[in-house]
Amino acid sequence: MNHAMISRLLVVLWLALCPGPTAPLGGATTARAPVTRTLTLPGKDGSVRFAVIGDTGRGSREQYEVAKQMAAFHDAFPFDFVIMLGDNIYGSDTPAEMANKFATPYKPLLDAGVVFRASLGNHDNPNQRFYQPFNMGGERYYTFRASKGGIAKVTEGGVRFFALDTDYLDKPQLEWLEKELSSSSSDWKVAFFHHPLYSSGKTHGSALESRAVLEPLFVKYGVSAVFSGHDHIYERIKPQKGGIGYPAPVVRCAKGTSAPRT
Amino acid sequence: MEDHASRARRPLLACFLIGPVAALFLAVPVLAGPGQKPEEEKEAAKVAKKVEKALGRAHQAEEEREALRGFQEEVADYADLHEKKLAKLGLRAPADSLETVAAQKELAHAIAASRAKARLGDIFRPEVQPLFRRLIAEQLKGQDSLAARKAIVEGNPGQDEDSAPIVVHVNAEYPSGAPRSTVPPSVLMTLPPLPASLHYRFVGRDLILVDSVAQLVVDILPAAAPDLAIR
Repeated sequence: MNHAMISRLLVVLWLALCPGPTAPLGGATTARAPVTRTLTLPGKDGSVRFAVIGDTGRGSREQYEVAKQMAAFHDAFPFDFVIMLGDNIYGSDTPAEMANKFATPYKPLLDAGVVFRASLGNHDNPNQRFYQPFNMGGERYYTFRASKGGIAKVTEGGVRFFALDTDYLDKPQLEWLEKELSSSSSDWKVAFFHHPLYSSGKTHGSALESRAVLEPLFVKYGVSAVFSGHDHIYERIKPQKGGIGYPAPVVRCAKGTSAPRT
Repeated sequence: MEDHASRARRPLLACFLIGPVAALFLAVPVLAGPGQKPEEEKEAAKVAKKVEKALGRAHQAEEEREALRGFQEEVADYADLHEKKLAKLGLRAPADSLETVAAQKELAHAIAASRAKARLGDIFRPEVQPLFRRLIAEQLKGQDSLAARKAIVEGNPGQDEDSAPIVVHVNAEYPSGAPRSTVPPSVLMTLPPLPASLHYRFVGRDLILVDSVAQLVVDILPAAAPDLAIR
């Protein structure tokens, strides 16, 4: 797998669920009594396993190779679902192109019952929110829960995901996010969207306007982790500000330079 | 009097004292996080203030309210039309790609047919245009507006170096496959709110109103944004 491919398959990650009452990973800003956390290790029963991809939808050879790697990885580490960070379908989105850029490369995963959950990027037609296999329920922003035993077996606690549309962060979306975050009792809250709040990428860099409106909510309500795309680099984030990370570059494509602008 | 052993312990003691201090010193930039990029943090603080101000902005001046009244009436009329056509076509359920594309086109054709006489400036009427240009300029001019300009340029056909220019027309569909400009929160908070059926977007410096389902260009305000160059 080359660097460009690595940049597209951003990360495959596990989350360990907490069977008992817990605090958010990063710790909320509100004072809470210390709690004990019992972690379920990845690969064990009860862990929530998912993959993350972003900026993938070109129908290119690289996309197909990454999809193949994902399918192979799924055999060894059966993740239940995939979150998509936007720019899921570049350019034309006719039925034939949707097949070429999504349904065909991920067919083995789709056939294996893996569920895809998309967020929108600047290259996506917003109407892709109606595309059934993206599981967006016709909404630009939405939330869903995953818990022990996979996405279909939702119980108390668990992990709640928030898919946002950072192309158009209007007031209704921000009000919706605050309402959902404030009412969520999930142990883990994970946000995903296209534009990175922090990025060392030379092509785009940090989306400061989005950071100004989103980060305070993430900190206030103890969001555990954030995933974003847009810059075609792989960058891991050190948790801080109550769980929100700051970039700590680990792997970059093309010897430290960003991939071409998208 | 100091014995030999205590003299020998002195460097060790110094290590114990200096080590943690040095470690702390080295760790501070990491612990501080954003301190790693002081320039970005300064800019982020400016942007946060600017966005906060935009969030609190209300169109209170009489001249603004008066100018916006006509705009809001036109927008409400369009939203009614959108809802009626949507209900008539029954397009609310999520669909697969074939149905999505067909539904988008079906709705666009139905609305376009009902607005066959729509012309540029029907919604962005001449009396409201200076207000829109001023509101947008407030967010895109000045030292603290670089992030907003950068956001608008990204994915903006004709502005983003990797996006080919497109031509849009009132009552025609937004070109298939073309990217959409990001509209930064400060601009969205400043402009008059829209119903869910309509979105603001930029094409070059023009502000367009686009139907969020039909992807139909509903109106265009030419040269709405100031120079978007990023220097």
